[in-house]
Amino acid sequence: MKIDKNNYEAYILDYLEGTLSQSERGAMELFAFSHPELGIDLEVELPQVSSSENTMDVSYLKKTLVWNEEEVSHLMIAFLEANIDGAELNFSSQHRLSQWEKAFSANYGVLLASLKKTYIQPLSGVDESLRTGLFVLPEDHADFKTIAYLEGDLSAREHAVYERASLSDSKLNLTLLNYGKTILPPSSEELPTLFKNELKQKGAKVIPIWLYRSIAAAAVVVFGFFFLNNLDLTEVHQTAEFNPRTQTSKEQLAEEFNDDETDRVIFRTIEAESDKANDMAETVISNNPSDFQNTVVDNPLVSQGIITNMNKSYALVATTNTIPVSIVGDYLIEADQFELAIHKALDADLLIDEPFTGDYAYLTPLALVRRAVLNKMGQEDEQSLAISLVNTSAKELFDEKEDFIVYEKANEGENGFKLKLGKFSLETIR
Amino acid sequence: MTISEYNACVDEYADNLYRFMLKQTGDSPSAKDLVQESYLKLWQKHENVDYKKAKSYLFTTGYNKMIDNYRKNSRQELIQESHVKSHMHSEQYSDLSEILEEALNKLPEIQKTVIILRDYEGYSYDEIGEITNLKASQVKVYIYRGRLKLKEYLVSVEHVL
Repeated sequence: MKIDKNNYEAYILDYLEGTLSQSERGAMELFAFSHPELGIDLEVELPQVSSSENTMDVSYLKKTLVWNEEEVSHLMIAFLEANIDGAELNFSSQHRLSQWEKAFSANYGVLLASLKKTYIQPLSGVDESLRTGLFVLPEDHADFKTIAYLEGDLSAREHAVYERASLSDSKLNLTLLNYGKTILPPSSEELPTLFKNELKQKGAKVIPIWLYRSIAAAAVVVFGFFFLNNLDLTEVHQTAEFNPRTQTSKEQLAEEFNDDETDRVIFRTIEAESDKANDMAETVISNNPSDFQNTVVDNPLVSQGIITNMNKSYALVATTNTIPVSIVGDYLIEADQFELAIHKALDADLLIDEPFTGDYAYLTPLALVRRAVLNKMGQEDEQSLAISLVNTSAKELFDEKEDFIVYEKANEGENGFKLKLGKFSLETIR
Repeated sequence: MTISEYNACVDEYADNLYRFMLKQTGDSPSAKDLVQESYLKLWQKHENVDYKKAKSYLFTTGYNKMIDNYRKNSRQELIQESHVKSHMHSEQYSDLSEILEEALNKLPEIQKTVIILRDYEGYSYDEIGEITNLKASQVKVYIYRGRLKLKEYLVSVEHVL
């Protein structure tokens, strides 16, 4: 027999007594689920029947939702108490209470007002809560249940019932499908590794010797660019020459890295190394941003080089073909533009991955460079040049005594400027 | 929280925080700024913040800073940007995720926030409430309402398509 509104009460009793077959139980659950307006509760416990009685009172099962002030009062007081405690009424009670409110709004309002009068302190916020909080969840039952199903808010039993119902009810199945699409797909955006490493903090800890040397290696290169940077490019009309200001720069560097660890590192000045520069190569780059944007640098020292326009400045991003080193250079660049240049280079996968991990990350060359650039920005001119050295292993970098790339720039008048790349050896003494 | 634990927080949560901020602002530089500010504050307070609470602290800080930024910016500007964005994407959709992104951006800010925290980070109602300074029950309602609107939007777009 099919369960319908005319006979379902008889089935409820059989259901609760456990005398229905499995298929009949499923049909009953589906009927209860499909007719929320009947307020059928299949989880209610049967009253104990004494052995002396042959009958029991089943009137409570006839849930045609007659106003039951006692039940509503009970739920409403629970809600008001929970509201005072800043707690939450349990989910099924919320739902039940909202059913009463919908079916008997007048009685509901009167009862709520009378109960509120019993509280000594004014129940501020309760009305707001009623209006915006608990009881204005999506009213359509299928929507409500489907979201609860997806959010994991259903009890195990409700969950199972919902799944069965969604399989047999094509409309509910479509609703489930549609709500499933509202779950945001995984997002793959990640921060560049260098950016994350800059977030990390330096600790006072013992650093391995090889790392001292790596610090020195990176610092000397930055040091070198202080010299290059001191060139006044607007006044140089031919290929630039090194014009080191060793006295101040060395002192600045000592201040820049003024701590116990770096005090023990002795630098050999860059000019001595620059004398050894070889394999110099030049590229002339146009002054016109529209010309030099995305210009591929044709240089024998560069295996992959590109000029990108950064509004009023440019960035050279290059990977040399001789050593695993990348260069990021900025000219007439604002501090925040420098950040953008770094990140743009990272986005283009033109920089080799940052080698340092964990606690050593704060010692990255990029961090040194950034400090150098920021330091430079505080000086009298606004030019800045910087180099970022990124290697697969700082230890390998030192042990193999690899060369480094430097570059110079020279104004070429109407033709633009000349970019000169040079390779030099770097030596550190501990 | 020790320095090592702080640095571990960068490894573990920076990408998550960035994604959250990126979805909220729709702007990578702004999202990175918010991430940076959040970590700066965490570092300043690291001695008083328990490592286990660090993720929540970061998200709460980032969320509050984002709200502050919104308040600082002119309301008009935000409305205009929102209008431009919606207009830009109203004609063509490449796939479901794009439609969903569009729908998400149409939600009230708080609904968008709680759904992002729920779906991307898997936060509970209580945890989201802690971040957004709401009660768990309010978070739940906002999520339900948001899902309903998202579904309605997706269905309406499908009808058009």
